[in-house]
Amino acid sequence: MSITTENNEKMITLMSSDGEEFVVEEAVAAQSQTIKHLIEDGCSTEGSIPLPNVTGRVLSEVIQYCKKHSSSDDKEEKELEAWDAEFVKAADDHVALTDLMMAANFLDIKGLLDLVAQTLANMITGKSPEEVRRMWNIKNDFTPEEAEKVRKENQWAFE
Amino acid sequence: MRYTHAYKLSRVRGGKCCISVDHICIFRHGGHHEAPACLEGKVGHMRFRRMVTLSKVTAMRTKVDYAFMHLEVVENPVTVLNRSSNSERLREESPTSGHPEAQQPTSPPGTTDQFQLMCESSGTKPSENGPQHDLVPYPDSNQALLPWPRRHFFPGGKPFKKGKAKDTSAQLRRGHRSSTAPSSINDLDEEILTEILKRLPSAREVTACKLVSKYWCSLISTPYFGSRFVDHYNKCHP
Repeated sequence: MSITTENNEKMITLMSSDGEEFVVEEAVAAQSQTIKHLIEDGCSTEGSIPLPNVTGRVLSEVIQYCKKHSSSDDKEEKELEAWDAEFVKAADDHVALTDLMMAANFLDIKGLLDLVAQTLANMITGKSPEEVRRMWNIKNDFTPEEAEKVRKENQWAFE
Repeated sequence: MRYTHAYKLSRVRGGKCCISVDHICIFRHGGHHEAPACLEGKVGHMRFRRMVTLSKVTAMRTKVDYAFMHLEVVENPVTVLNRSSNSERLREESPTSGHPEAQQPTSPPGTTDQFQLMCESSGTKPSENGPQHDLVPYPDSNQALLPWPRRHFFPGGKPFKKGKAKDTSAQLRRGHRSSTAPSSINDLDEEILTEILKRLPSAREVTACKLVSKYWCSLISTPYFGSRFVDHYNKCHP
């Protein structure tokens, strides 16, 4: 649906997987390359744009990010960085961040993808394989022999 | 137990190839990570074929963008044969009405220089399949094969009646896990895990992660991951 506000900004309606609708300015939505292409293709002229694998909760966070980043082009970079840091902090754990990452990947928002991926990488850094597994709920499917083999082949990294 | 489905994988607009991620998500939900697919194309006089796994299709997007930037991409459906145990469930959810392979090819106008995409099941090796010209042209009468309300994404044709499209997407929403709370990072596809792991500060950190699980180990061991890591590392350490 494209409605036009008083200041002539075209509005786009995004619909999350759980049916929640978000009306945002086109400039905000176009931070997402995926949505930008859809708008260019004329998909936004009729009804709302469905985002079948982004939930309302995640989408509202994504929109928050896009709003900030579309409105602060000429603001100081430092302020934006501080805002980004707060933003990922607010997402609070790696599960929420993982959701955000999947959404950023699907919606193709490079800045957000960079930000979240780096945060998750920082979480992994310095952790032992066991700690990483526990953190992400990953099953260790190596037999002791296989693990030993990997360890041997990559000895330098474990010294 | 074989499942046949047709998808349009990509289209090019303004020099960019946009593989619609929503279609690929079906594969993720259905657990098709390892189903190899054959992408075959023809650009001018050059033919190419590349074996990919479906979960890599997202990654392909960049390559297609880059390599064929100025080309028109014909909108092609893709044939996917599902080997997973989810096939029955998917079959129920998607109004599959026919097997695309059975369709006679009717080339849309001007296909000569256009890029053709086709995904095939690994169940039969491409070479055993004879010439792979049995593409289902789009738009065509196989609209029912597309489980998504395509009109939203590909307005070139409006294949769905409004009511039907809604039904289908509602079914999909009910039937498939949405992106809420992945139970583990292993649920993430290669592309996302690559994005995370390539940002680790050193090769030592990355290598140590090989011990996490077989999936991580095999991902980290691929040349693709290696080059992504090196690219990123060099960008950060000029």
